[in-house]
Amino acid sequence: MLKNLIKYEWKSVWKILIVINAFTIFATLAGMFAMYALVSDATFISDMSSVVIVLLFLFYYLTIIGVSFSMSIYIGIRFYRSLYTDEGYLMHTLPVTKRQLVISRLLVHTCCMMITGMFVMLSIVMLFLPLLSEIFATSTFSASSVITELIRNSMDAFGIHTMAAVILIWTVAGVIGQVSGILAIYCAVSLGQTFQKHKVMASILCYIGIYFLLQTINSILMMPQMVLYMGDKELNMASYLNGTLLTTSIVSLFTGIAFYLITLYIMNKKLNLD
Amino acid sequence: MAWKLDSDRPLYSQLLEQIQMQIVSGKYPPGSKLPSVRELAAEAGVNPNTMQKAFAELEREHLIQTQRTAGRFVTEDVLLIRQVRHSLAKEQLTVFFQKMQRLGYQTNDILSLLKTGYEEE
Amino acid sequence: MSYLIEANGLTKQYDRKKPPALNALTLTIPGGRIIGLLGPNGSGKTTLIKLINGLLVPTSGTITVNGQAPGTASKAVISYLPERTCLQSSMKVQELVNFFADFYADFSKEKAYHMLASLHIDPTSRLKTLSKGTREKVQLILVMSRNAQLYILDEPIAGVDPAARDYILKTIIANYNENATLLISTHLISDIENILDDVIFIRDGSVLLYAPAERIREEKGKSLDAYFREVFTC
Repeated sequence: MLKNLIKYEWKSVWKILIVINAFTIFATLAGMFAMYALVSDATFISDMSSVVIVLLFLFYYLTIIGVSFSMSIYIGIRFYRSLYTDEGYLMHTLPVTKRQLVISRLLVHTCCMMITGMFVMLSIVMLFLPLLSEIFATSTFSASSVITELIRNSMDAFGIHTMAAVILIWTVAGVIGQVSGILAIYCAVSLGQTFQKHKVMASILCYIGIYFLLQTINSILMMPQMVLYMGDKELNMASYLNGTLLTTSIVSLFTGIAFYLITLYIMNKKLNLD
Repeated sequence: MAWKLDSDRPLYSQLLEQIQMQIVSGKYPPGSKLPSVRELAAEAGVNPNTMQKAFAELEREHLIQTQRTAGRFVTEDVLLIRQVRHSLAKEQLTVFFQKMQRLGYQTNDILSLLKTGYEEE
Repeated sequence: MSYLIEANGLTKQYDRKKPPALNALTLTIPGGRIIGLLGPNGSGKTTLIKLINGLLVPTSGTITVNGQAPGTASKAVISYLPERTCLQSSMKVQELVNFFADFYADFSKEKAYHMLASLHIDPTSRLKTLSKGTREKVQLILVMSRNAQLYILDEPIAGVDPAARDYILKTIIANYNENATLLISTHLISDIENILDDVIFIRDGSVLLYAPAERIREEKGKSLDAYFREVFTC
């Protein structure tokens, strides 16, 4: 049954996923063009007005900021529409558990967010490629050495000995962050349903509340890290970054579990479709 | 056939009357197979349980017979069908006479009126 | 004997300041019946239906289907037609048929396609391109194509034209499994009263009357519709 739920959720979202990533690709092409104009000496491009270049960069910037945001909003809408509106009558009377309903969506939506995020990362790399190659060509700096150094320092910071493990830790942290973020959306949408009226508005306010709560928890927990970093010259950038990564991941893990349990509780006990 | 059902009276007795009528009038000849309860119920727009009840009553009157696998059949007993027809005719007559008497006719008047009225038509 | 549905002291209160939608309702419904759930608007019909389907949790009291509280087991044997379109409108009719077949083991694609053809509905059309009445027909066809133990139809014929209504009623009679129970909630009593075994009159969240339809006709000499009007007269 979980397989069927995943299948139909995927069928409902894949078109939007393509549209959103098409935006990323389109913006990347525009950004790369602007970047090329900026760094190359080609005369036909240097004639191009600087206003156009600025506009292209702005378009790129807004799109890259916007895609993950739009994907999150879409995920919230999908969750709301399929489980808390008329479609909910069908979904909640299928012979499946509430857990399966949530998990199926979580898997598909995490996938969507990861794909969107991957496209964004690739896009940024593509954009800065000409710039970086320019820099690396004229200095002793090399791209691979920067990254390997960060990884090496991280290995020391974690006290582990393989590069793969560091990359694995980063990936796991990334997935935890993503999943927890999606569960925060589910939780906010579900909390909004417990209100008698203006349920959508209540969901949005709940999300804002959750967002600020998370920010507060994270900054409080990161305070000691910060103090340590400032006071100790021995500590390097890598161990600071990895320290905060670890803190936020642990926070994400626990809050994610809390969001999941709250969502399930509301679906099991407080469901009240209009 | 179009079933004409009146929601003010129990449906079961109305169904009973109408099936009897169909058998007597020869729509379902002696020995012929009847449609299934469900088909007839769907046709009449009634609950199969109600149709079943009417069938059970017809079976009690021996007007229809159930053969375990083959379905339900109208009796081959032509005499019985004739009897039922006769009693239905009598019922109609009783109703007719009651109505005529309410109009103020005596039995003799009714009979003569029947004769002349019938000839006029 | 065990009952298909058993409600015991079933109460649902949405708002503490208002009277409960269902008030200590006690009811047992056996298998193999066609039952009309009749009552004016706001009498608690839809609340009862939602509770049977596990779409609501009772404030107090219990409800069981086949002896179990609503859950995946009960949902697998209940075929429910809500009063609103619950299907995703961007889907094609044939996709919906596949959806139902994927989730309900008792669904018959053959029956569904047969009924769609009889009502001249093109399976390749998207739901959103169909008229409101046709969408309702599609939903009813999907629900009736299951071989369920309990069919719950909430206002099944409200938006459907009379010709299709006749077809649908005939389809219901011809298709439902004889051990199954059909619970039909409606305010259009005269349209369905001939197919009912029993009627439940519900008022202010309690059962006012639960009796065989034929007995009401016999004892009152009235149609159910007329009797309903008499009981619920304002």
